[in-house]
Amino acid sequence: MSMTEYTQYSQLRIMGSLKSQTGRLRLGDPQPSPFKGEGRRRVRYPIFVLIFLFVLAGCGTPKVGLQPQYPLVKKGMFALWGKFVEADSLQPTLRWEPFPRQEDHDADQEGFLSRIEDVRYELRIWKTMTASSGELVYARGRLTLPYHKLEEPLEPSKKYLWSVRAHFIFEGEPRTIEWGLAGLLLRGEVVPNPSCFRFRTPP
Amino acid sequence: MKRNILLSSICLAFATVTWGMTGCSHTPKIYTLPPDAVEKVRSNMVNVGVVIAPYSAERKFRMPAKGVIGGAGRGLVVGAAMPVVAGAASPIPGGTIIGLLLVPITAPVGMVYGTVKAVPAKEVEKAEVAIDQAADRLDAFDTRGLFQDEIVRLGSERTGLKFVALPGIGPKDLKEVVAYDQLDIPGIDTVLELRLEEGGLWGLYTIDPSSSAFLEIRVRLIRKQDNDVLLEDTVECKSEERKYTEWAENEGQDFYDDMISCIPLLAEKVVDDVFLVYPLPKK
Repeated sequence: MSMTEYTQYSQLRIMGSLKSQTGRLRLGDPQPSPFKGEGRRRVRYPIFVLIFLFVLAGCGTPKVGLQPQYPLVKKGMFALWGKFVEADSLQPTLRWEPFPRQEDHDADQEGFLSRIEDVRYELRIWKTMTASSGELVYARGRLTLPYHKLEEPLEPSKKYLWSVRAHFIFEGEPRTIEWGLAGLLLRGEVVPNPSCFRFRTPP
Repeated sequence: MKRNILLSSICLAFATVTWGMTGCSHTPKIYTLPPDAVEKVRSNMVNVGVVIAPYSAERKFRMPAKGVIGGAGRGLVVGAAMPVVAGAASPIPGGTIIGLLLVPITAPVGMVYGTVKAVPAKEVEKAEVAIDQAADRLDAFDTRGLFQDEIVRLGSERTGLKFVALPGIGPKDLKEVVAYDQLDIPGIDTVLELRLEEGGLWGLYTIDPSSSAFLEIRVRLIRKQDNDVLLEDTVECKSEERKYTEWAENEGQDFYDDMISCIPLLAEKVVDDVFLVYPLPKK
């Protein structure tokens, strides 16, 4: 069935529902299918199931801000947030997208990017027990490169949340972008929150 | 007829899941505004008066079920709701109906589970007293003053604006709307009005839930000249999760400490979101 045919069929169904509101037809009255040999069950179920799966799968992982390049965000299909990916050492080198990103260039119709200067990164790491929040254990600001090797070792076999954001000067005023988050985005909550990036340290 | 019920159930389940996944994630308005509009608002600010409403935040606690009876009741509710929610969330067509069919089994099982797993009533009541006392100590402590000072400090440090605390000014209750243009606050062009809306311990509705200490704040940026609300939003701080009885240990000291530690985090979020965040345009 083509999309046009399906649209016509849907319109017929809507008309049927409108009729039922006027009392001429009741909801549930059988409607003739304009397509010979195709039952409504065959038409609708795959669509509903596909939409359902699409939504449940999260349509990819929602994300805002600068995203990590190491350790990467790994999210299960039906999980709200990422997994605690094991880092390669107790002093991992965390990497993230440089600012401005390609998507910022693509969206820059007002020439905003030509008016920013002095881009610096701010990195924070929190130790967490339940992943709902955490204790700040490492913070660095004014980083010039989009990666950072931790200067102090973290504790072994612990879970950590982390995030990064860019600061810059825009027309002489200090500005920042929002913290990088992934999964179900809790943008109204302070950091750390469960949307922060996650890793765990090796034993 | 049956098919329509089935289709309606799928639509309901679809709506429930969509709402469930998006409804609890609030996006601050500032992130959705065009950058030029935000910068226009900011360009007219020089001296910001920081006002904090003097009333206490509404207390909200998710407590465990109290004793055998409480456990049985909550177990019944949770046991009945669980298969329906799981059915709605599953990608199986008619999952909600299947969930409903399971209710006569899961509800009594939940009741028995709740009876066995419930925290003894005396233990819950003892914990309740300790947490209430900790909440009273928080009320007695000048959290609002600390919050106001933190906003002034961070705002002055991080932005090019001048922040001034305006003690004694602000809405006296939830519904009061202050006419700042009528007040004698010389030199102030913009008012940052803050209200501590809700605070306490909150988590899922289970027999003995893990809960986070939380504090929710309403923020309004108001132009003094005409009381025009330039920006308005709600920000929230949540702690790590613990059981209710764990929060009550040491006279609720962990609850008290976590609520206090939310103050600088919320102050930073307010200053960043209102005065510093540049909402990047989307293609």
